[in-house]
Parts: sequence; C-alpha cells; structure tokens
Amino acid sequence: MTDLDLRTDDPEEFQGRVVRLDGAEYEIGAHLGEGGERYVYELINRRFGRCTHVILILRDQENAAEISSKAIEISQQLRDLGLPVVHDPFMVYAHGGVFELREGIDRTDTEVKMARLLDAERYDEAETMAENILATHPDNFLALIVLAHIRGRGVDPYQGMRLALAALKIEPNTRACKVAAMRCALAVGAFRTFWWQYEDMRAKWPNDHSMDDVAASAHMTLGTPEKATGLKLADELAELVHREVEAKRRADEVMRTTFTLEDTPERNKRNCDILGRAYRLYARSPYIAVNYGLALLRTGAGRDAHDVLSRILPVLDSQLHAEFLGYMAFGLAIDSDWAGAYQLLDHMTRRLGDNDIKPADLPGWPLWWVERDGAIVYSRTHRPFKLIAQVLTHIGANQVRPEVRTMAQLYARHPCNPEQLSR
Amino acid sequence: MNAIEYFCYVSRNKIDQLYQQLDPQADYEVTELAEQETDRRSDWKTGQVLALFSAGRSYGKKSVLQREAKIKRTYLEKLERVMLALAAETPIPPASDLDRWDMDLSAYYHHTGEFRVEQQDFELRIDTVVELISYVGERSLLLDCSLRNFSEGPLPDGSFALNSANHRFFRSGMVLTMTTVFLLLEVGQSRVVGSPLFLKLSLPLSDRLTML
Repeated sequence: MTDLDLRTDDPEEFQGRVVRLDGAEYEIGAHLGEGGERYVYELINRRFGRCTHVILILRDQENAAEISSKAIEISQQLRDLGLPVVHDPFMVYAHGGVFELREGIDRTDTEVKMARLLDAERYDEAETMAENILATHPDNFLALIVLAHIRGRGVDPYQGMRLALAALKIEPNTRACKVAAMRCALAVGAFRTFWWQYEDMRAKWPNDHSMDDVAASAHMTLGTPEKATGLKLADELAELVHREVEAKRRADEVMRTTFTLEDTPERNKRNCDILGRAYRLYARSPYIAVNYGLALLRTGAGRDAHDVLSRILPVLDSQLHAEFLGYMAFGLAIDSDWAGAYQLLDHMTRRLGDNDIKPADLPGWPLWWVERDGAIVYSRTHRPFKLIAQVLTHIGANQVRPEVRTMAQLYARHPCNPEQLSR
Repeated sequence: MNAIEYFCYVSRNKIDQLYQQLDPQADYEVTELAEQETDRRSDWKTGQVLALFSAGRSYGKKSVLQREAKIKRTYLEKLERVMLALAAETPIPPASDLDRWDMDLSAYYHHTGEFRVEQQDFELRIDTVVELISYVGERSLLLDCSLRNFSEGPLPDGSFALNSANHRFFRSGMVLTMTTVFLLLEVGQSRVVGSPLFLKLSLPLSDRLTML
C-alpha cells in the first residue's frame, strides 16, 4: 500500500492510496465522480473496513485552500438564510496538498436499527445489539459509541469514557465519535480530553456550534465563564453565562487586596474573611476556592476546608490531586474524623506511588496557592506530620497499610520540616 | 505573461505518427536555430516554436491535478520535438496565407483566434469528434477534434465529463482564444478544414475555473 502523494499521483492512481489522518488510516476507494473543482472518491477506514468519508481532492491545488474556505463560507451564508445545506466537509493539508473530507458512514441495516433503538431510549435492546456487533467486529466504532453512551449513563462512567476513547481511536475524524468522547469526558471530569476534542471539532467544522452549550457548561464548571461569551448559546444559557461573568467580576474585585502570608491566627482570620466574601460571590473560581479552603484549614475549620477543597478538586489539574487529597485529610484530621482522614491519606499514598514517593512530593502546611504556577507556598512547620501521626495513632498500627506508614516517615526529610531546614 | 496559457488539446495519434518519423539523433533545438533565418516574420520557425513552449508549457492547466498527468508530460515533450522538426523542415506559415493567391499550399498552418464548438449536442464519449470553428479572413476554419485529446473531461470508462469548468465551451457556445497548428485537409471557397496537432488555450488571469 502506498501513501497518497498529491505532488506526484495522477487522479487515476488515487484509488488504493493510503490517507493517514489524526492516527487513523484510510484507503481511497471507488471513484464517485468529478466536477470542475474536485475529484471525489470513497474513503475507507481500514480498521472499520468500510467507507466513513468521502474524499474530495481539489484540482486547483495552488488555490485549493481558498476555494475550499470560500465554499464553506457560502454554505454557511445559505444556512444562515435558513436554506437546507448539506453538512460541511473539513479541509486537510496533508499528503503534499489540500483535500476535503466529508463524513459519510456506510452503515448496515443493523447499525441503523441500533442507532434508532438508542434514540428511542430502548437501551437494553441497543446494548445487546452493540455487544453482538462487537463480538464479531471489535473495531466497529458505531457499536462502541452506543455502548459508551449506555454505560456512561450507568454506575461506571469511566467505562463509558474508555469505550468512547476506543471509538475515537478507530475513527477520530467523525463527529459522532468526538461528541461521545466529549460527553463521557465531562461525566468523569476529564476536562483536558473534553477541550482537546472540542477544539479539534471546532477547527475541523468551524460552523458546527452543536457542542457550544456543553462547552459553556464546561467553562462555567472550570470557573472561566468569560470564555463562553463568544459561543453560540441558547438564550437561557447565555443569560446564565452573563450572570456568572458578573459574579466572577465582583469576586475578583474583592480579591484585589493584599494578602499577608503569615501563619498567625489574626492573619489567617483576616485572609479567610476576605476569601470567604469572594467565595460566596463566586465559588467556581479555582483560585478563590482553593485559597479559601486552605485559609479555612489554617483557621481550624477543618471540615469546612475539606468540603470546599473537595468541591473544587475535580476541576484542578489531575497532577495536583494527590497533594490536595492530603490537604483534605488534614481538614478531616483537624475535625477528628480519623477514619475519613486515613482513607484520604491512603488514597493520596497510592496516587503518589506507594513505594516510590519523594519527600518533596508530600503536602506541606499550605499558605497560598499560586494558580498561575500551579504551586503551593508552604509554611515551615511540623504540623502536617503531627496531624498524620495523630491519624495513624487513632487508626491503630495493625490497620495502617505499611506504605502509608512509610509515607509518614518520609516527612522527616520533607523540605519544610524545620529540622531538615536547619541542617 | 498576462494570461493563463496551456495546451488544452494534443492530437496524440498524429503526434505519435510524426514522432516515429523523426530522426532520433537529430537535436532540433540546437542545430536548426542557425538555419532558420527567412524573410517572412509571420512564418513559424524554430524560434517561434521555442517561444510557444517557453510560456504555458503544460498539457492541461498548470498546477491543477490532471488525469494522466504523467502521460501528458510525455506527449508535451513529443509535441515539442515534432514541432521543432516540422519548423526546421519548412517554416510553418500563418493560416492567413491561405487567402493569398501568390503563396503555395503548405501541409501545416498556424493560427491564433477565437474558437467555439460548432455543434453542441454531441454524444459525451471520448471517441466523439467535435468540430471547432474559427475564422481566417472571410472563411471559416473548421478543426476536427477528438474529445479524447482534450486535457479535461476524458474518463477511464470512456465517457467524457462535462462540469462547471468546461460546460460553457462544449455546450453553450462560449468563445475561447486559442493558438493551433493544423494539418490542412481541405481549402474551399468558404471554408478551410484542418486537423489540429494541438490547441493552446489563453485565458484571462482572473479565470480560475475554465479548463479544457
């Protein structure tokens, strides 16, 4: 099999050429026709084994990008006038030239029926049908999408996510796969995956705003409602976005103050009061919520600190999760919830790598979260170790996992251990 | 160059036949230049042939994906050699010489003018021959052209594709400016009939779509 090369291949050589795009491999199939501007062929996804797209190869390669953009622009103008227009292709610069791909999945009757069952919310029947298809054709992304949808709604959204990602890997250039992956990603809080697919979808189909409402919800969840103002939203949602933007603006006004990072009861109380005011105005800002949670921790409101931090945790970078599990554990420990605190410490230890933990990775006593750097400013104190020691004592030596005990002992070499610093 | 120029039609059979008659050792491009001086500026000699191929040297619109592009490149090279050989043998006179009583007839003539398709309801098969019409003085110049030899349109299944780029020329009487060298078949009172070796199209720069 030879890759398509638009610099050297003649149109009669296109059939059988391989097209690679975003990790998927396609083969150019039957010639479907040609016009004054394009040669048109079937495009067969090699894993799926059937046609998923039509490839439109522009004759005038020198002006291809302009011709393609213009055609999409005209389609959109007609669409804006309310005229029915076939869905847009997307333009690709690859294989030595420019071509367009238009979705067009060759579906069997069974696949059509499966999709209808899903639309009709007859999930059991659709699921059985999808399973049967996958038993003989494990690369049938249409069946994977259906299963992702059904299982993503159930008790294990991560399974839905895995299925959606499997479908996406087979067919990354079909919107149905992207939409399934985006919905499942949001369900499990995998925001990076969501934005990655959303941005790719917008880049390929700039006139497709079908996921803008979902994107707006994601922006609001992440505390960035201002980024949703440019999206095409339903009136109700646009109003909600507007209210969130205004709330965030007022909270930011409150935050325009000088915080003194001194771990004294007076300073902690003052900082906590200001952060509390901002938090009550706008709780979705990670910057405000995290620092409010940390301030509550320092003022001794351990349970409140835990609750504030646990609400904001899903939107934080997953690399920070282990550290924040530690702060939440400190909160519960302050509140004398030893079992809850131990559970979080155990979870943190596992996420840090059990027997592969570096002392510097352990959470110290937090003063401030610098959002821009994703870094925490620590206080030099024995406090974290003392809290952990209390938790382990209350749990009982025989109930503590050895790895958690080893983790606690590593605090002797923590960079913020006062003894460690004085050496 | 203020126009898009390219060879839109090359008579492959004639070029193959003429090419076979060429002396494979002859280097027309170089050796014949010195022998080309004549007093008739309108005749095509080696210099004019070289000029013909210096701009718009492409069988089909340049930088456009073409069917049989590799074969077309070969035919363009053959055409160039054939044209150089013809011009080296005898300068090619302009078709307007056919109006002069004092000139002998030549086997080949060159002509630049406006062409259109005479009959527009022909069958869209590559073995269809269409008649292109231009004018030489008062007489019509009729050129028989096989659809197979046009750069755009022939399909592998033997049909000829009409599309937005060629429809107006083949079906709607659109006039296009072309240059040709043709084999003279008949000279009459009112018409000249020929068989073209090639047709070279000249389009305004603004015309991005027309392709023959």
